[in-house]
Amino acid sequence: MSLGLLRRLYRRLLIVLPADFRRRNASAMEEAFGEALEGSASSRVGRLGTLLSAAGDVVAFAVLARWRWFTARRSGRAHHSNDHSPNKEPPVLKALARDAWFTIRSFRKAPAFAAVAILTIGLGIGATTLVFSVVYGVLLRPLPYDDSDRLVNVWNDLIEERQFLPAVHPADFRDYQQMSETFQEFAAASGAQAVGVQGVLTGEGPPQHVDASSVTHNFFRVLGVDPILGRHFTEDEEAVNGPNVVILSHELWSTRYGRDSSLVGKSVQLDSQPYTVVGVLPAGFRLLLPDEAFLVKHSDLWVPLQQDYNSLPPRNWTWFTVLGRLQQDIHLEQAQAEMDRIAEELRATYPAHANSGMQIRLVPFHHDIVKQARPALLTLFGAVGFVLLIACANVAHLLLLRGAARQKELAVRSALGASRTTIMRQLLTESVVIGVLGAGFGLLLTNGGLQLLTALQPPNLPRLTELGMSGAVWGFATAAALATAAVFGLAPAYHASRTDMTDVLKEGARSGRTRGTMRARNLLVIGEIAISLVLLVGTGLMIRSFKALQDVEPGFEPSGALTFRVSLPNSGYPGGTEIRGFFDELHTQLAGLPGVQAVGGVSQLPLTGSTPLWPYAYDDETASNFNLSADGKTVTDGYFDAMGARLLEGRAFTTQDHAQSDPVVIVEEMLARRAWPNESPIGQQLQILAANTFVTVVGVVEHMRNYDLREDLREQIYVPLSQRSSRNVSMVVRTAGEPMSLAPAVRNAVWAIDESLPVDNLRPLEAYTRDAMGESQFTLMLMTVFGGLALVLAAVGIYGVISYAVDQRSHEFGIRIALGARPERLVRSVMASGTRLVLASIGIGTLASLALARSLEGLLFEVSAFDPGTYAAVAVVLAAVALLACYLPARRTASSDPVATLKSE
Amino acid sequence: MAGRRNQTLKPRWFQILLALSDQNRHGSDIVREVLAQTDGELRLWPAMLYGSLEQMAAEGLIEEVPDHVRPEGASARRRYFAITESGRGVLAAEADRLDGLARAARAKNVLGQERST
Repeated sequence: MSLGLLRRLYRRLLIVLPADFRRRNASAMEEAFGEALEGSASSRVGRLGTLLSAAGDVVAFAVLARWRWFTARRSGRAHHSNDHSPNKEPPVLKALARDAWFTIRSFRKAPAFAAVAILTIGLGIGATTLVFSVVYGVLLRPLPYDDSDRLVNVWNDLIEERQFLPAVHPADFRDYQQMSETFQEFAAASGAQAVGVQGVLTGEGPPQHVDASSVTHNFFRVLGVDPILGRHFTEDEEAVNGPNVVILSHELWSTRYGRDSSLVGKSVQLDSQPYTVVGVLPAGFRLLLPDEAFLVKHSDLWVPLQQDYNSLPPRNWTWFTVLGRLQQDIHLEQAQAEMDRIAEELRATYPAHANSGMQIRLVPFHHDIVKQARPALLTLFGAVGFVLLIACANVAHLLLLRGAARQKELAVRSALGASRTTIMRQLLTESVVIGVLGAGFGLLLTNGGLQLLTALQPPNLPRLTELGMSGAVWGFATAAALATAAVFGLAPAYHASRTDMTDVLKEGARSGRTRGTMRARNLLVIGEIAISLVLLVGTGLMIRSFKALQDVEPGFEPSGALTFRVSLPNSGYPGGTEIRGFFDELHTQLAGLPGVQAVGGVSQLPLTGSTPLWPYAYDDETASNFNLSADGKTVTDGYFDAMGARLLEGRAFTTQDHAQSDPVVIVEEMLARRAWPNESPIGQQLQILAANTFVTVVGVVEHMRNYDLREDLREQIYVPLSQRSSRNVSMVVRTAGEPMSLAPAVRNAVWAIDESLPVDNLRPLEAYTRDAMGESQFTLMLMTVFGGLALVLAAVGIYGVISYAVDQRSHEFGIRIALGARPERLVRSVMASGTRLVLASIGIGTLASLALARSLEGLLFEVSAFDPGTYAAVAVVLAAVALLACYLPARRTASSDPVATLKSE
Repeated sequence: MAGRRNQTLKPRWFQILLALSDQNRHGSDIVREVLAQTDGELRLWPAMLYGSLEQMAAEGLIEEVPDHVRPEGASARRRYFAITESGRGVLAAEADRLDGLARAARAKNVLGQERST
């Protein structure tokens, strides 16, 4: 969208401002808007956000200015008020204001109509604005980094190894820096473990384990974030064995160090070593990363990435997260073309890259972060748009009824000289007033909904903390109010203004039965039911998909186990012997707790993000390339028992496997099938981590879903802690009772051995599987709410239409019953016309669902988007509800006293 | 103007007065200065900005700079504003009030939590 176009749009919008204010300020405002546009991100989306915010500002000000004028006028001060009040309004605006005032007063006479219409539209606008605020905050708004459109994430695709990760080899990172010309700068980050930091803070206050990551000196500069206190890291601090320095998050600085501004330059105790604090990051800074990002995460504490670039493993080992900032005026395609050339050169130079078929893929940072959330959010946005349409249909119907009931009033006004335009304008103003009041109510709902969302914290929804009632949200609600007013108000207003007034006055009380209105009402009902069907089919498919996800067997037993993490600092635990000693002791302590059935530990629990990849080979051919990789984990003796994972063949690790005995591994079934399809894996040799490092397979276990509940991804290799130690271990304690009830005893068991150790992430194992389903659950929850809302609104709609039609025929029914017709017959005739409507709607709705089904496919798991069972079930439920809504008014009329009915006419 | 001193000043007005306290500025310049003053927290969008400027002018807190004393080469589309004596008084009174509040808060140790551990 060009700047010129946006400026023109803004200029058009200024028409809503009071005229003389506009005359004085329009050109200065346009100029200020132009500067805001140039200052905003250069992306289309960023500009659109600026336009929306500015539009919200203009509309809000226009409303405010008029409100002031009204209140000033009512208190008789209109001519005193200062000169930007619209007291020299052109006649049209003045008339509009008068109509609006008139409408609000007229609502006092029909409070039920006004309340139902405003609530219905408010529900629709509120739900739509809520979803919009999430869509805007997550998908549209630029990232909170300076000029974030130029940030790019670097992915390495190792085609032959089926590994696609935003991870880069350190030497490649250096090569990019030297070879690339399209990037201003590259920066890298990795886990703190990569530089030997565990993240245990001691000294003042209780020991605390905090998330830590390591970054190159320019990392925050490339992101466009400057420390609020102190400075960035320097290049010298990145040297191997360089100084011990840290940068703290604002949160850690606040909670642990009481915002002490003199902390910079002083040292804190990290892993029992003094580290000098050199900087504090701004409040609200979050490192946003794609879900696949490796080792590095948003942290409370940052250390320099002191990587030894002189001693590195083969180039297909990737553990740096690399991001780059594009040069000004360079497009992504140009940068990608350059990186393709660099990849080609690297493949030609390094066999590891040649073998793995390495390719470099650049992904815009924003896209990378929100790509998982995007399909669900867009689907929800579509769904909620349907709810708003149904709400509009209901209100349009209400307005048709009201128009019919007011025909006499309108006829009198027209007879007294009101033109058709005047009447139509007044009716339209009524719609706009309903729309605006509805939007006000809707904004309250949106605000409540946003607070609820922030409290619920749906997992996998990035940027949740950034959501809020921004200018764009206000602008959207205003636009929605006006658009819906046009949708539900135009047809009834046109219709009412067109009716021949003399006929109305002549005909007498019974009115509004023209064929035209009836057809309009029927169309509204058909539309409503059809749209509800589309929504309910979507909801039904989601429910089935979620059920399938719940039935997934993840390869372990999630219930009945407590987990927690222990990290051992270098000081006190310098080597493998001490680490093993600690975990042996911990194992004994935990196993002795009442109710405990099994105890085990693992370097990283399943479903907790990316796991280190270990290269492996099982025969000469795979050893020559050494380009297969598996998820590698270090485990203690009882791990598989504690997880409830089935051992398929061979044995588990025992105390017989120790540092001096032969190195052994346990593999999972995918690896076993791949390497030894026709023979037993037990006793076979595997090379892991480096060529010619042979280990013997002693067991085969079930595959545990490690990244995602939906699919098995990669082979897995387990080695005993006694042969390869790990300082970070997540313990799993299986118990007969409620897992969390063990928490105090577990903490005491750790502290009985070493009271300086933090015990983190005390959670039931089940919490991890629940998190893994969280995204689907969130989408499902909202879809269910929207589907339910649609069903209720549609039922109310059809009830209203049939009820009205039946009332109109009550005279006829009275005569027919008086002449001896059986009430059942009358009910049947009403039901027959209702059934025709319902069948037509279900036919249309089913076709529309089929047409839209494909857009849902990405969100479904083990359920086809064309699942006939779901379609049939939804059609039956909807038909039952709709027919019930027909039956009730039919029954009521048929059972009423014909004499009373005829008298009342 | 008599009642003004007893009321608190709208934050937006306070920031605008503050921005004008050291030099005359035009609209976009005020927007930038307020952004800088508030660490990017407060962004004044055009309608609210000019609405506020007009109201403040009506209250005598600021005044529009006549054409002949504008900076040289300034775009004709821009409107320059200057703080008035009355505006300075109100700004100082409000700053005083805020300072008093901050002092009271500091005395109760709720500000900045100067190292409680």
